[in-house]
Amino acid sequence: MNKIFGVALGILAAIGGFVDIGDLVFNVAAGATFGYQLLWVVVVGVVGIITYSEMCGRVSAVSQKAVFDAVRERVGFKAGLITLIAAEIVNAMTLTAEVGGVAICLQLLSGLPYRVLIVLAAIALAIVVWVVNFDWIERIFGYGGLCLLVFAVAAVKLHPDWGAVGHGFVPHVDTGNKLLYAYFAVGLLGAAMTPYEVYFYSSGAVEEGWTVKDLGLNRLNAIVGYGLGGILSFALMIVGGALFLGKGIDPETLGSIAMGAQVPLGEIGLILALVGILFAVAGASIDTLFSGAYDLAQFCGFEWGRHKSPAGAPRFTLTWIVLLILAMLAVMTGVDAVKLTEFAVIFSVVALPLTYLPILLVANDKAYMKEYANGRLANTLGIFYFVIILIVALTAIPLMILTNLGQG
Amino acid sequence: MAVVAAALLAGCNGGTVDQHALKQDSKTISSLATEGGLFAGQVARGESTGPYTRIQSDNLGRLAANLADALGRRKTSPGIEPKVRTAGRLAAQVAEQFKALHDHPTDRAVARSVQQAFGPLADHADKLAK
Amino acid sequence: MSESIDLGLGILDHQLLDKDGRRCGNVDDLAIEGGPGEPAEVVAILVGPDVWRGRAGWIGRVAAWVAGGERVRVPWSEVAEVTAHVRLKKTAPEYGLGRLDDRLRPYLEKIPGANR
Repeated sequence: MNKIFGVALGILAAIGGFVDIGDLVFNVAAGATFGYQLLWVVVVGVVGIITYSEMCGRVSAVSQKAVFDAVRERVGFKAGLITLIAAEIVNAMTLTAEVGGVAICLQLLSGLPYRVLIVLAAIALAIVVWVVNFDWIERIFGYGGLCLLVFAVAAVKLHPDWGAVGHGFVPHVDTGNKLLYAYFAVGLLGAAMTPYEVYFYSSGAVEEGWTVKDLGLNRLNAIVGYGLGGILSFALMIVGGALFLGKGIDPETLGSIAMGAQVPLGEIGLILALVGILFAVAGASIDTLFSGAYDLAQFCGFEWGRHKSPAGAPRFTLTWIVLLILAMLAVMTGVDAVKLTEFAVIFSVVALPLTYLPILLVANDKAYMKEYANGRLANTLGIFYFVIILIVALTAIPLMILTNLGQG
Repeated sequence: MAVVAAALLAGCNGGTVDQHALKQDSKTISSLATEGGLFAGQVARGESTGPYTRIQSDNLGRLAANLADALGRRKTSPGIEPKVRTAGRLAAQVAEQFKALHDHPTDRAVARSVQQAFGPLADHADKLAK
Repeated sequence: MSESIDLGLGILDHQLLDKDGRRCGNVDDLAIEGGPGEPAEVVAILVGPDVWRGRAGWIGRVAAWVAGGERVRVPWSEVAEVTAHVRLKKTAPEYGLGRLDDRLRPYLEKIPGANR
């Protein structure tokens, strides 16, 4: 009984932690632009992240290596170095957007000056990471992120045309503006299949000492956690479609997204939305921060770990501190967090093949995986998604330019 | 290199205002005005918080003000200059309404009048976007 | 202990662990001896950014410069076992590995909570 309780709590935390600023921005914007027509793309993205997370978890449990260890070993030093540089650039952009998002939420809740809150946010994040046990970090930010369920309630309360919503789950393209549609599809996939998430997940698996006995748990975690988390993405898009599309509103700020809960549910909806966004984005920023430090540590071979004390992994600690400071400085230049989020998601899409190809190769490598190498289902899904990722990676930047960053 | 070029190309919006840009900017003004109306309505019903109203109206107001500034200053394609300047004035009026909301974040009467003012502004911007 | 070149290449880029299981670098390169006609023999493991120079063209050279260009040589005889990682017989400081971690640690320990 206790174990089931533990698993359930873990899944709850995963749901709350599923959404990051990229999901918030792209899902609501997609709803505001195309209504419910892109819901099926979210499903594709969720199944994609489940596929690759399960593979990553399995690779880590069987080979005792985190993804980046395996990347360097399997694709070689030069390709590994290029992957590292690409991953770190995307990571830095994502982290900057998220820290900015945290500051914006704090400002909308407190009314204090933005610049002050940027520094406060960075310091608070640093203190939390330094002092708080990582299991508690996951719980706090995961449960706090569950406040985002207010968007699910809001979606229902806005009385969307449920027939149209259902139709949105069927893959179809029903619009004149095909380029813009493609751009949002690319963005939604990128927001769902973020690279930092798999690096973070696999590093955690190694640190928790997962072995082949944990493979079932790994699969359950991935499917239920991400699957239910996908519900939050649906809710965001439905709110965007039900509230903003009809009125011709293009939500350009995080505050606009919160209004999606404020209109149907009043002041309490607004506060829950802001708190939920705050915890989800803050939690995501910690994941991103650690992912950046993990990648460097694993590539270079120095000590790393979320459960290690700061002095137990000095270079790792220094790495995340430097990454956080750089992100804070970048936010202070006044960059628009929402616009930066769009850039970050699109660029992470371009880097996706570099992330996922090594995982697919290692997961198939019997030398690493022994009898736990990819079966037919995992390979079918894995190869299918890899083709999608390639197409999406090649078209992302052209689409971004042609649609002028989603302005049509 | 390609990355930097892509970033610049995607974000670049300066230069001459042509018919397409006028349409896009008018749509943005309409969107801001409509969102403002929705937002002000919430404040008028007492369904908002002081800090949120103050900060969000400032954020949206600044977007409108930047647009007003650009549309008032930039060169335009031949023939559409009057429309561009009208759009600029509309954006400035939208910014003014947001400022009123920003300065009186808990005043429901102000919010109601702001909400009513946004309606025609949004309609006018819609016409320009056609 | 001499190994065939196949095994040598099989441990390239793998994680190094010292006697206590501490991570102390990756196998950045191997020193192989043996002229033409002789069996190739791995004589040492090379660790450190300086070793990257030869492995990734100009990107490798830039990365080596950014990372500080040090290099450590660990004789092959010091390898205790090769499993998922390459385990060494002695502790990291005894090989001159993990020096940067050791140098940084005293500074970090000055901040409260560094050793929780």
